[in-house]
Amino acid sequence: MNEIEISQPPIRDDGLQIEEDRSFQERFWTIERWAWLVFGLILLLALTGLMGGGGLLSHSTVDLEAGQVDYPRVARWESADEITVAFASSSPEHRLTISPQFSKYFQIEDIQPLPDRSLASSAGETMVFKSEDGSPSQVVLHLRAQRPGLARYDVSLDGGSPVGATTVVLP
Amino acid sequence: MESILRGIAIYTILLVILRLSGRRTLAQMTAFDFVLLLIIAETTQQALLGDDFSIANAVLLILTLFVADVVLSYVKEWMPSAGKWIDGVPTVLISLGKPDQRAMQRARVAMDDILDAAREQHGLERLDQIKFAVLEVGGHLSIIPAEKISLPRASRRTAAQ
Repeated sequence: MNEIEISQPPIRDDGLQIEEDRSFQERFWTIERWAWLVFGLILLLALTGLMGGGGLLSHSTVDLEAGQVDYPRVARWESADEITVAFASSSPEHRLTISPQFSKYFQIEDIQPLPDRSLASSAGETMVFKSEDGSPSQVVLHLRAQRPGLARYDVSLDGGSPVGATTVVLP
Repeated sequence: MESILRGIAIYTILLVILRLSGRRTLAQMTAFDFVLLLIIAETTQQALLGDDFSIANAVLLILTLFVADVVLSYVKEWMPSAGKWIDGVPTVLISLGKPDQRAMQRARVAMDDILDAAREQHGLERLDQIKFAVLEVGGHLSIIPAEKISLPRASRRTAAQ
């Protein structure tokens, strides 16, 4: 069995026996300062909302013919988030369709108001909402991200053409 | 599998952040630092466990953290240069009684910290009684006094009896 050679630290001119690598330490201090700058930038990004969890840039809004969809631009794994759909037109029935890719990344925990019925098709899941007085209505989907990654999915309102949405799910 | 990946990720992230925060960040251990450490532990615990509070998950995580630590100790043994990056190197702050202002400033060590350590470790009263002050890799300060403190003869005789 090979014996491990134990090296001794050198003795400095001042008599102290120590392995002080000052050039390495100087380099590391510089890296440390840059790292603090990066820490600060990450916190600034988080304040703007680009790290998820709320903030000005954490959500994005897309305009469709039949209304508006506000979805998370950045979400966090296992954290709660929401999609808000505002239907523009007055109609006794509204339809929201989300493509199947959505369910790979998100679990819908609650929908307010609850849909009257839910239909499955090749285009995804279509939720049908009834409106008593036919006035424009708003629907909120409470979500929880199930896995980290890049979630690309399509959303369409009232059978209109689908619009792509992308959510970055941070680990 | 997820538990192990979480464990390795958190271990690595903590290692990098603590290392890049500087050796003095948590080594000073004031009352506030202690509270900070508890908060970090609590935050880390949630990220480690997620929503799985089973014993199996806890056992896997504990094993992951211990194995990661053992592996890292072997990496440091096989590659001493990696050890420098992971643990750092000691820094001499006072040599033969002369303070190295640049090193103290870069390492964020104040003269008060050195005098504090000198009082605590050797009961020294003044700066000129310090021969060497070293910021060790663990973040604590070790002080070597200028003169060896010798007991008076009478005390030595009593001690020998």
